[in-house]
Order: sequence, then C-alpha cells, then structure tokens
Amino acid sequence: MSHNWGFVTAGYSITTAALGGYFVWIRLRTRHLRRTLRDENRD
Amino acid sequence: MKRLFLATTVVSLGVTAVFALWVTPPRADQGFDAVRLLYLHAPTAWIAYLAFGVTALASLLWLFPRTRSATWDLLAGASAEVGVVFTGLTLVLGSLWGRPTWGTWWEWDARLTTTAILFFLYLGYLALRRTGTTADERGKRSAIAALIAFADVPVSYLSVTWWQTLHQQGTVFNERLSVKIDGSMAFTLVAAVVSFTLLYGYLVLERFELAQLEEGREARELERAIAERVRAEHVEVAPV
Repeated sequence: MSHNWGFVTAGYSITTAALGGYFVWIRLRTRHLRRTLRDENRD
Repeated sequence: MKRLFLATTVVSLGVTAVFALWVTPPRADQGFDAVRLLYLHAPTAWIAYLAFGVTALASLLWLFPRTRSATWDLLAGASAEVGVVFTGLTLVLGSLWGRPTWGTWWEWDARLTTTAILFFLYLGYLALRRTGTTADERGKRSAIAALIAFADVPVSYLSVTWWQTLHQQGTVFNERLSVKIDGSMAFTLVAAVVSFTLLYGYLVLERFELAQLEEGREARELERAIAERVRAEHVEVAPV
C-alpha cells in the first residue's frame, strides 16, 4: 500500500530548493553589489 | 550575531524536519504520510500572512509624515518579496497535499482562490516597486498598493468560515470544531511555526540589507548620470 511518500518527498524537496535558492541568490547578489561599490569607491 | 541567528534557524529547522518526517505518526484521514506536509504547509501560510502584515504596517509608517523614513519603504519591499516566496510555496504544498487527500491538484475553492489572488496581488506590488522616478514617488505608490492588497489577507484567512469550502477549517484555533492535536504532532507544528518564523526574520534581514545596497547603487548611478549630462552640456555650449 502506498503511503504517499512521493508527495512528501516532493514537498520537502521543493521547499528546500526554493528557500535555499532564494537565500543563495540574496547572498550572491549582496556580495556582488558590495564588491562593485568597493571597486567604484577605489576608482 | 547574524551568524548565531542563522545557526539557530538552521538547527531549529533541522529538528523540525526530523520530527516531521520520522517521529510524528501518519493519519489515515489526511492521506497517511502525506499529513507530514502539514508541518510545511501551515507554517508557510502563517509566514505569508505575517510577511504581508509587516509590509502593511511598514507602509502605514511610511505614509505618516511624522514617521516617514526610507527604512519603512525598504522593509515593506523586503517583507513582501519573502512573503511572495512563502505564498507560492503554500500553494504548491497545498496542491501536493490535496492530490492524495481530496483527489485533485486544484479546486476553485474560496481558500485556494483567495490565496492565489494574494500571490498575484503581491507579485503586482513587487512589479510596481520597480516603477517611479524618485524614491518618494515609489514609496507613495507602493505603500498605497500594499494597504489595498492587504485587504485580501483577512478574507483569505476567514474564507473557510465564511463559505463552505473543500479546504478544512482552522484546527488549532477553532473552538467550534474542538479538534485537538496532541503530543508529537502539536509539538512539531509549534516547532515548525517557530523555526519558519526565525527563517522569515533572517531572510527579511538579509533582503533588507540587499535593498539598502541596491538603493545606494541606484542613487550613485543617478548622480553620475546627472554629472555626465551637465559635463556634456558644458562641452556643447563652450566656445570652440
């Protein structure tokens, strides 16, 4: 008998990917902007 | 301090996941093991309401001349963006849970529909934030839009009591139904709400910092463009 673990796996994977991806995107964009602003200050 | 905040959030999410996936029991009336989606679906919905509430409050503070500050505008934008991510997840997780329990991925049920409307309203709000030539203009437009969009939050929350819906009524705060969830299920649900609230706080903090950097960069680019234009005009009028 299926206990619907496929739906559970999909739900937890999608949540991890979405929130993890969003967190990484914020971090990368922040780092990129900080570097750009630092370079512009140096010029 | 921020690292400690992140570490606490990650640990609490990890503990919640262990309880949600391995400690709590399956329920025959909730799709057997699919009930484990409850520990994601309910907290993400709560965070969506919280995030849009914070956006509405920050927008109000921006609209009052005495409390007007760019901080409120940036906080409103940061919280709305995080809220949109959580609303999207609420819809996806609800659909995944609905398929094994209701036999359908989607129904035009009052709760589902008002939540979908909420998602698109705030997507529109985020698009609106990208318009406007000055920070003041953007602040005013988006603050008014945020307050209008927030009207859908109580409608969505109360839709299950106002209309007959496929979506179940509130379980924890519903005296009429007096449904009790005890033991490991109640603990896991509370742990999930706490850890997702921590995650929301951390994400808003990070997104707010990014918004401040973006704002600084835009202001600097505008200054540079004006300076270049002034310089070009001087060259044009200068005698050869």
